[in-house]
Amino acid sequence: MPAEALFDISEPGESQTKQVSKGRAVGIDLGTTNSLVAVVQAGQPICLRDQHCSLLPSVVHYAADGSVVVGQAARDLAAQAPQDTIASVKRFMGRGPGDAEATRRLTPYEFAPGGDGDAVVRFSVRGGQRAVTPVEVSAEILRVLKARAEAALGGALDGAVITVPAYFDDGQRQATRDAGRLAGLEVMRLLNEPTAAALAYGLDKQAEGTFAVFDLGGGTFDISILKLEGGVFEVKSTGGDSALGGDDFDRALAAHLLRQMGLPEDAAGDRYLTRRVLDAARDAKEELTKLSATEVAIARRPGDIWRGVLTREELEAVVKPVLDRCEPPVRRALRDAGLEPKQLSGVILVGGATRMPIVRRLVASIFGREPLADIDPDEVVALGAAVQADLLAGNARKDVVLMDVVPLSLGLEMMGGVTEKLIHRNTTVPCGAVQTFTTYADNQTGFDLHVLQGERELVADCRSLARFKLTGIPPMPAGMARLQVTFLVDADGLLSVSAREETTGKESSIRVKPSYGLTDDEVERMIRDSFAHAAQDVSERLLLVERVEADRILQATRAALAASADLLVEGEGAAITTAMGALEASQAGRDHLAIRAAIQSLDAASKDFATRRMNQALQQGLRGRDIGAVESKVGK
Amino acid sequence: MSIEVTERAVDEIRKAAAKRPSPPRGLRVGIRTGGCTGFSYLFEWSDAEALAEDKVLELGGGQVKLFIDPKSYLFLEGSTLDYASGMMARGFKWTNPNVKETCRCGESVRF
Repeated sequence: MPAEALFDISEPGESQTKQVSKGRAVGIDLGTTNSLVAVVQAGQPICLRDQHCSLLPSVVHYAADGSVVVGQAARDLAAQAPQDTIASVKRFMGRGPGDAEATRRLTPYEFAPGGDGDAVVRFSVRGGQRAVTPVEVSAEILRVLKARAEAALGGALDGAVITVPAYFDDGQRQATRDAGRLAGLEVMRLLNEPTAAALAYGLDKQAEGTFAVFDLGGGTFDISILKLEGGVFEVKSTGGDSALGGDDFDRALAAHLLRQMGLPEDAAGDRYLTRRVLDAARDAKEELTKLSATEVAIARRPGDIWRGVLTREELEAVVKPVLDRCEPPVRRALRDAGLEPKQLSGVILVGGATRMPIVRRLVASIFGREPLADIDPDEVVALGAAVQADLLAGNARKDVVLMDVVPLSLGLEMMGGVTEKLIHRNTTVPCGAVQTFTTYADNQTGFDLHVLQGERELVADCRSLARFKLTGIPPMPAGMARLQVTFLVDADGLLSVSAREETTGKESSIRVKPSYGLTDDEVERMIRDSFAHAAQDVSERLLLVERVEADRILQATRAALAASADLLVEGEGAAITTAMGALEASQAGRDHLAIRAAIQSLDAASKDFATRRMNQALQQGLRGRDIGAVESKVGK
Repeated sequence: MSIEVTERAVDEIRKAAAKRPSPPRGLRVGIRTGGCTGFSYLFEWSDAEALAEDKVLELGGGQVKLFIDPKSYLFLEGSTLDYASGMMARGFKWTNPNVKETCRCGESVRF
């Protein structure tokens, strides 16, 4: 009996993952212009309303008395106290004071002087008495939404999913997370806005597809191309115009109305008149979504009311030049994703401005199909976030497995059809594993990687998740290549498998969602089966592994005999052949120990022959190099 | 057949458990595929309760619990878990009659 190693007890793998208790979790759309909160109730996502409106204007006013006003009331104060009323704070999230794009364009605000190396923008409010960061401003908006949700649900929230634009960088995402934390929310996840919209439409239940999300909000336009594969949405490309939105339509229409009223386009600097005209323009725009003409009444000054009729044709003629700016970014995003419009499986409309018939016509003409627009485009992102939040909170739909731990082991197919597990069942996510493999045959120039899921020992009894190849490895003897395979499961349960051949640096990788299309019952069954078949599986595995090893040795021995028969000494060839015959015979049987014994016998019989071959190869190697050196001198 | 755990091993597991910041629910032992010769031993605290399918060995009057999944149990049946200390090293040690071969480092085994 060989010496056994001594072991220490190890800690279980990362057990730090957030486990949110089952319960109340909300989805929050923290928008540039408006924000919303939604929750799943009785299986349906709904937006929570404040009195009658679900939209909370994303505006925060810091009043002189120290109080903070959020929402429509703050928006109403914007004209009086522009410096103390922060709107569109989302544009400043994660931006530094030196970030010209953020600080130069929108300048009703005073910025607090930052110290050297100050990482964030600070708004100076209340006459410089207070400096607030974009994170703090966003947190005020989130606090209001949190309170709204807690009032509606009758208790504290367990967590929230907050949406962010697909193009947000790490800094902007972190700032959003920080705002959530500051508002006292457990941020379970940040979700890309276009993905949220797709989830609201339940598109994740399809097998695969490519979708465009056309998001025309109050002040920004975003286009995203999403690819759905194996239950995972991947953002293929994004584009847009951060200064284009429904508000631009209102301004264009207001200017048109002012002209009709016989007034200059800037309303002669009359802020109150400007406000009234803008409000009338927005109302008319909304009316004309359903009607073909509407009456407009605006007080030029108290008692002097202008009345006119506005038709949809007029409106569309006015907004068309603005709307036309949407098309180039869409074309670019499609090109970046390498797609033709006809290759898309669907188009989703997001943002209030997409209610306008002219916008829908434009989208239909660009993409050559009618867009999905059944869900309120103002609410669709928040609704999708609520669906995700509900899942994360453990109120899972029956057809989806939620991962806090890896529910089934993840591994790779090995020679002989056995499964090598890299990540074991019940490991908490995120987690990872690295293992090194090598080539089985001489001059093998590629690897076929077959990613598997399940507890059984044989590939045939496991679930196939993905296959990919790593090719372009230069020919070398078996066992020389070093293939390092890394499995990583992130907090979202996404598995990334990457393979790298160490001697050449060739790489290949793939991403899959192991829980895709897997129900709780199936997981249960797969685990039960693995126990029911444990003894049989293990003996089968032991047998297959030895058979593969036997094949490898037989093949190598045959090749050696063919190449170097001259190196055999008397009787050696016969002994080797006999051992090979014995191995082949045992290989046909089912006793793995007999195969192993036969392998060892063949090893022993061919040991001296192998040594001679090795020596000869070494000598030839040296000689070969000499010849090469000579040739290169003589030839060229 | 069963799995035997020596008093010394039980004692060492209890001592090690007491040193943890939070008491473990049990100690998971088993065999996993992997390692140079195909299988290796697993020794890991479990902060979760035993799974429904696990075999649970209660030792030292219930102070120490070993969780063993059914597949590993197949390989461990008949083994003895001991704690050994010598000049160079100390640690837990399996004496497993099912093992036919170990690799040079001794951490992985063949059946």
